[in-house]
Amino acid sequence: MLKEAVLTIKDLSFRYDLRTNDYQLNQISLDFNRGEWVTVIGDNGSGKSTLARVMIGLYPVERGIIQLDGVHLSEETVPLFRRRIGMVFQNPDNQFIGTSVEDDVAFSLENQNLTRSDMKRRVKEALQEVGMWQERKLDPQQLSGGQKQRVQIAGLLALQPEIMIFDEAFVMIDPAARRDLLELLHRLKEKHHLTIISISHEREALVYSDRIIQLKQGTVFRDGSLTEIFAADESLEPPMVERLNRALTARGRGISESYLTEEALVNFLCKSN
Amino acid sequence: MNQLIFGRYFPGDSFIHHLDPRFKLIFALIYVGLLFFLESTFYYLLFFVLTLLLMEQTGVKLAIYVKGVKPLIWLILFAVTLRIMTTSGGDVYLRYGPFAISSFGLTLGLQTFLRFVMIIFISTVLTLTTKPVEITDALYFLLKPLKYIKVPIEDLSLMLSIALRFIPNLLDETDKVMNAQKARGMVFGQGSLINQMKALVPLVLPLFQNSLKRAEDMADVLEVKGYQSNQKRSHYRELKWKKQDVFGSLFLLMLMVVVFVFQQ
Ligand SMILES: Nc1ncnc2c1ncn2[C@@H]1O[C@H](COP(=O)(O)OP(=O)(O)OP(=O)(O)O)[C@@H](O)[C@H]1O
Ligand SMILES: [Mg+2]
Repeated sequence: MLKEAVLTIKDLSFRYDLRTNDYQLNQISLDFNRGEWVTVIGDNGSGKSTLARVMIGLYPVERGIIQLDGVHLSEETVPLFRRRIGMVFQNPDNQFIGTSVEDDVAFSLENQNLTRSDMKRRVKEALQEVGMWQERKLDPQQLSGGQKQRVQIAGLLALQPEIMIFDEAFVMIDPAARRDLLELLHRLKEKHHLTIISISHEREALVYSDRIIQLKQGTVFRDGSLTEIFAADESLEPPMVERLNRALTARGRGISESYLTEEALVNFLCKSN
Repeated sequence: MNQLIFGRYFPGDSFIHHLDPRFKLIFALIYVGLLFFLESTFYYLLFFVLTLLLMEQTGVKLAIYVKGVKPLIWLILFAVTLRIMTTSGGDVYLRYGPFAISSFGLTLGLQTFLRFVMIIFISTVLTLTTKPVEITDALYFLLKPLKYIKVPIEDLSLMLSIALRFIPNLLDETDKVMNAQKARGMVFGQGSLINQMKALVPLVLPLFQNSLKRAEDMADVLEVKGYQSNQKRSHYRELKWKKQDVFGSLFLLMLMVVVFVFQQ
């Protein structure tokens, strides 16, 4: 597949406190390609959230440039960025504006001043895509963590964005629901050709990554495929599939890198026998 | 904490539940206004019966309404007593210094009592049958003209609806923190006033921190979802004026005629 950069970051530096010389992001240059699932990892305080927030215009860019399909991020273009880049945060409880599921999905559409019939259609489609249409009338408080994040994803989908950013959005969800959620996200990504930027350390989330970026003290420390990153850093614990791959390789029976989900791997192994 | 009745919504399917929130809001306001124009005990009783009928219509148990009056009962009794003591005229039953209990006083006392109770009952009818978000929508609609004099109605109504949305969360959290502190041996509502206040500090502090964190998170979410002050936004929810609201309005008109024409 031809790589086409949708979001480009060049020489980005950022500091919270303009009075100090202490940069939380330092000379970052990155290309995010269309249709790519990028996982951002790194120690606490390495600047993952800061980077995400700068990309969506929550903090002003002081040095460097951010470009979305050739449009520079600036005060004037922030609304455009907000429409085309969606973001889901960590705590599912603090992200509902609406008092019901459908109201919440509609909120970002209301901000775009869409007509009611347009909103109705988009809300329905989005909720159906994440499997939450039945629950549209419910109070957010009645939902599980995984369902809450599904609704947030529907909220993004309704705006038909190009990029979705998840800042530790899968942490507060139990493992089974997390797997379902990630699988759903993978399907949506394929269907709508979305670019996913996911800040996450969960193994289940690594599985779908096309690429992993590791930040260290505000700089890009590593940038590569899952195998590359884990080969380079012994301290990281790779996902089960990757460990299996290594063990097999060690015995001279390596499998292709593309079988990264458990399901794909199982299919592959069953076929090869 | 969860005994608070006033301001709580009870899901239901009554006629009143299905009325337009704008109508209900206006009805409640005018109804309360009319109570101040009643002149004789007969009309007070008439309106009281009417209020009871409306309450009956909601399908919510009377006990729930009575619960709503309870927290205010001392205030009401105080006002009523003051009314009785300071009114003279008619037969005097008892006299003490400048104070007297007279038949006029008793009548006015009864009327004051009924008026207070009716105000509470009718506002409870409104809040029990109308979702907070509907009330916000209705307020937004009714205050919309203020936009022209630069009042930020859009922001205010969003603020109100977010605040209303988080009240249940806040109550839950209060419960949780209280239990956590109790588990550590903290005792609430005992000892001297100072000690009671001191006991509240470890309760209020975490709640305060949580709320601050939440406010920060919400501010980010608002921005990321594209909210901007002073922007033109559309509205997903729709208020619909229906046939029953027309009937309701006619009924309200009739009440006004009763008070301002028949009563004279
Ligand atoms: N609002 C803020 N004001 C000042 N400094 C901040 C602020 N938020 C974060 N920082 C600092 O910026 C640096 C990067 O923080 P950031 O939250 O981006 O890290 P992170 O990689 O997301 O960490 P975590 O894994 O803990 O979420 C840290 O040193 C942090 O202390
Ligand atoms: Mg972070």
